[in-house]
Amino acid sequence: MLEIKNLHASVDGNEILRGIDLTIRRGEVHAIMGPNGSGKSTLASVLAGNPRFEVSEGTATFLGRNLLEMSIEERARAGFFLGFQYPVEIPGVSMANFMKLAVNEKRKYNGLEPLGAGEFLKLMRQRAEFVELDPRMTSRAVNEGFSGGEKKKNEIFQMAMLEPTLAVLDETDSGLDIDALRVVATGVTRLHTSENATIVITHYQRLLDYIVPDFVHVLYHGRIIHSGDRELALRLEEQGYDWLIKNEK
Amino acid sequence: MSLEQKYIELYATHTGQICRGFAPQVNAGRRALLDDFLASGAPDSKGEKYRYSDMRRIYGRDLSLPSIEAPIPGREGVMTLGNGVFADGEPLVVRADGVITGSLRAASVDFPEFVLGRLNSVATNLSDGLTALNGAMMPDGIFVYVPCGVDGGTIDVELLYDTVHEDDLVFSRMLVVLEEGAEARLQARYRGRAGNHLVVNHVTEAILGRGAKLQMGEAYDFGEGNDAFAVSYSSVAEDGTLDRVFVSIGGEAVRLGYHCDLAHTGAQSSLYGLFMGAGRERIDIYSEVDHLAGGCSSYQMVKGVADEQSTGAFTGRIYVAPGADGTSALQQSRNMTLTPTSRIVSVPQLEIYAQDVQCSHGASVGQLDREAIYYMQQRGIDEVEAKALQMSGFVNDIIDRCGDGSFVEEICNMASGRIRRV
Repeated sequence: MLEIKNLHASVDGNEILRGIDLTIRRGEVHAIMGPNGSGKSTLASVLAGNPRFEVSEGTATFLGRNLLEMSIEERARAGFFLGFQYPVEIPGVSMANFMKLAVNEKRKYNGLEPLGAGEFLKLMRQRAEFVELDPRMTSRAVNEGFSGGEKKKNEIFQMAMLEPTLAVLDETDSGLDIDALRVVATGVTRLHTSENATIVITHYQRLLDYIVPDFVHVLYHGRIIHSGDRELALRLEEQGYDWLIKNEK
Repeated sequence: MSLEQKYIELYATHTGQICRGFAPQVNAGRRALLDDFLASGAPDSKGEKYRYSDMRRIYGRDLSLPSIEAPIPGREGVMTLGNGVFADGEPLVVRADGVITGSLRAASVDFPEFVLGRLNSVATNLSDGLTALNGAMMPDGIFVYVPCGVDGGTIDVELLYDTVHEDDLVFSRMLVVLEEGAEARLQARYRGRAGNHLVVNHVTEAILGRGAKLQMGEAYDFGEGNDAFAVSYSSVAEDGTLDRVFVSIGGEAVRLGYHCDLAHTGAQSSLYGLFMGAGRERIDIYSEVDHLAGGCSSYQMVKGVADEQSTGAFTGRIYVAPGADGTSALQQSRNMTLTPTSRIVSVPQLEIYAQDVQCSHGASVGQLDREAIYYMQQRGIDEVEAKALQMSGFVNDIIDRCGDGSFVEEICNMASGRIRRV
């Protein structure tokens, strides 16, 4: 589904990604871990098409298409979803309006008729329940005045609405209390099918107790220096990254 | 010949046309107003109040009064003033509940003492020559009267500026009187034909009696290439409430003035406004709330959007008179510039002479949030749509206050037209 080869990217002339290779297939869950500043969020941003980053080398193929040549919105419509580490507030724009536009843009891309008001509201209610999001939140402005936990729940709610083929969740667990973590992680797990895939970027093993990864990758200094199964995450929790970094050095 | 003398001559040449149909008592006062204009002159940008509008430059142009034309037909159920002259068939309608609406000059003939006692009674700002000039030159106007304790309902008004010739100077006027305990909702549209290089000079006076409640919505689209000076003077008596909301788009150089006297205890006023400039438009909003008695409250929230090379200015003056204790006066100015070449200036001016007051002001000028646009794009919404959504989010709370029905729909269409240009 996603094939990344030798991906290099920089911001303001500083190279952050220095040759990423990664293959994601349908039905898989991948976890990307690594110390601060290793390039995890940059990888997510580059895949999403954030214009701040410049790709200097390498390829990324998503569902057979050159991902790097697609516009941000085209990537999204084709089924790429980024769960933001810091969801953005959009004052005055209601969640309902925002999501209706997003859902219908995706439907249009897939050659489907837009959802009518009734169908849309029904879908929104169902999906809000799914992540235990207070349905009243959907009438509020996007992320405005939401608590940290609500913002993260709202990311997963949007994921549930858009049903992406590939979701990259950038530190979705940061700033969550135990209950919110459970709700968010359970939501992600329930959305997982044999047809889609998830990349979870995290610092902590505890998220992976809920979202069980098939593969765990360690990103350091802009490259994947080690890959393994979920046991790797447990070892990192116990021993930190030093043993891997030393090898690297 | 000075600029002022030129207008005095213009008045002399057109006296018959200007005074036609008005009560002699009203016409008798015009000369004194011309003298006021001569004394104070057309303001330029050297003074504090007109820093962002050079009226001398506009009035220095070679302008004429519109020739007498057939009245512009009005819309069904909407009182229409075409080039300053009342256009409907029935000049004055007296309803069974005592509400009177129609032509100002007809009202001045039927109720001369009443009109004379109120016209120019609030718009007495002698430092403002253009208001005095309006009093001298207005050929007609809209008249609204709601008697004691009556709910006058919704009153729709349209002021059209659409002359045959270019470079015409069009005067229009509105007098609204609500007696004690009266209520009304007034919805006014100001529309100019684009490209005629017109200059509009409009003055509204609103006089609210004790406990009266007036909601006033105004939609301004003076039209591309036209200049406009539209100023409103209001006086609110004890426990009266004046709630205003305006949306302004279109016009080369537009100056909107809002002056409100909270004259007695318990008087309240609110002003919600939105202006959206594009091209090389210049829009200047001047608001002045005078707290003349204690225990009055005022609230202002004015938002501005400037696109392309347009410029905007909001000056919000709050005056609290000595002894006006228990005053609450809040003012917010929120602005967005969309291009590096657009500019908005926000100038709060608080002049407080009482001790026990709650006054605050806030001003901000920002840009479209790139992060929010990226966020929306990541959800599948293209950049143009994302910008429009963000802009709508910025302006919607003002538009939502414009009431409901066709008026708010018209305002929505006006604003969306502008947003689509972004």
